[in-house]
Amino acid sequence: MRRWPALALLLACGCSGPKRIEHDQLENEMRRLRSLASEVALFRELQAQGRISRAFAGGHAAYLRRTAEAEATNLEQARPAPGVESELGRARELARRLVSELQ
Amino acid sequence: VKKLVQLTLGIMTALGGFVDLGQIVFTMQAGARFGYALIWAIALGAVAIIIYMEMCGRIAAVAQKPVFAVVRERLGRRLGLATLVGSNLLNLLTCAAELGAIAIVIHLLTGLNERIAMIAGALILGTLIWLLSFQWIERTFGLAGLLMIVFGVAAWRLRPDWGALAGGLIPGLPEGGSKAVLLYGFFVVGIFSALLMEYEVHFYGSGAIEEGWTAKDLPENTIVAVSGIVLGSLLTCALLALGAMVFLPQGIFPALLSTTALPVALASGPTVLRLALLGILACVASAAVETALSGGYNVCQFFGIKWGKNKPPRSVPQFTALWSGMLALALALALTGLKPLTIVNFSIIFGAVILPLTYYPILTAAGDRALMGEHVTKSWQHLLGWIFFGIIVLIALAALPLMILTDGGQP
Repeated sequence: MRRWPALALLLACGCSGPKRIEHDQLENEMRRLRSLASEVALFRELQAQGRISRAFAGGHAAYLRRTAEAEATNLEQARPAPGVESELGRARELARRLVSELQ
Repeated sequence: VKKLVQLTLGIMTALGGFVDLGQIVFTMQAGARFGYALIWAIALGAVAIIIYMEMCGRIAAVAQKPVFAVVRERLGRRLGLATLVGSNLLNLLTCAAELGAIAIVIHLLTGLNERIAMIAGALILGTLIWLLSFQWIERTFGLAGLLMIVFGVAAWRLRPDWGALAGGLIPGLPEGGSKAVLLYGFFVVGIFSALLMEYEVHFYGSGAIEEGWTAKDLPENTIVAVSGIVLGSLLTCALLALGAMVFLPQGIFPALLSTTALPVALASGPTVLRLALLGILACVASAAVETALSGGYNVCQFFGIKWGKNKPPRSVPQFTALWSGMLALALALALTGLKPLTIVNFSIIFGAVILPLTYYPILTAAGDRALMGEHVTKSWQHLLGWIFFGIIVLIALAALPLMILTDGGQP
């Protein structure tokens, strides 16, 4: 019975600590971020051409910003697996740039 | 002339009511990831839903039996009850997702706060269901859904590669290793399931009874089912083509509902963009109404309780309580803040898993000479029905593993 509290503590520590991010997951994150960056560029272009209504522009920009902020938060909280530190750094940088672009 | 007008109205209604949130998102994502390569999945799903919808309308017109009366008879009480629970859970999830989508679209159109838009949207839908007859509910939302044609016009104006589009009718495996193949499989399942969503046949069969169809209406049943779905599928192909033309070359994977309207802005401008948003609004509102009503229809038909939208609400109290309860529960679920696209993604895959339990009873009932008499399914049609049932079973078996292996369809 004494083992249960220790196990629970171990699990709690394991679950509450920063999420470890592997190479594959980071590739997926980068793909999502590049997709988001391309969408932001398309959106800005359409906006500049006057092809988007004002209400739509405000609403869509807010949805894009929320998505970018969620990605940035995930990446900031992630702990890199060995060998992916610089990759994670690049992803964090891209996410931060997107968030500030959408402010 | 009156008959012709009714028929045209029926086809237009079927076309306008064909597309829902799941179809809009899944097909555009499929185009954004695989180009035109999944056109064949839309064609296959369209043939399947034509066959089963025609059977469903025929059973209702000839035997005067709605889908869940047939489910109970063919599957027995225990398995029938499990199907009822699964179907209504699916209706609830779909309705919640559509209400969430209504809020997003109203916000994009007017800038109104999403939560207020969601509550107002649900109240307006509830009032409309309460006040309108079945025919007017069907016509109002179906005809408003015709605004989705602007997506077809946008696809036309952006000049698709017709050769590549036609090439998409032939199935093939994508390049990019096992991950790409799994994702391709996930989108096949998603497109097929979105086209065959159960609530469509529940609503169609119940509607046939609401409108008092008899064997005399069978030609109309065939024409409406075939024409409405063929035209609706062309619209679905246009959504996929927009994904292929606008998003694929730029490496964009549309993960937001608002993103799906960008191709229309690119092809036209702000006025047409507003029309596209109104079209999406009509489609998702129509699906919310159909799922809420289906929730009521299914329970009443299964337990033999009096039902009918064309009856005064107070004369069918349980039915009225059931559809309004479904709408209220869906609103509560949507208000928790769950993303509509996350819910719809899950509901499409969950829907795929329970598809066989709805389509098997329809297939066997329509082919039962004792029940259908001279209107029993023709042998070629019955054979096609069984072939498609085999595909439905494969889709049901593959749905959950593919969802897990692709992390819910992440590119």
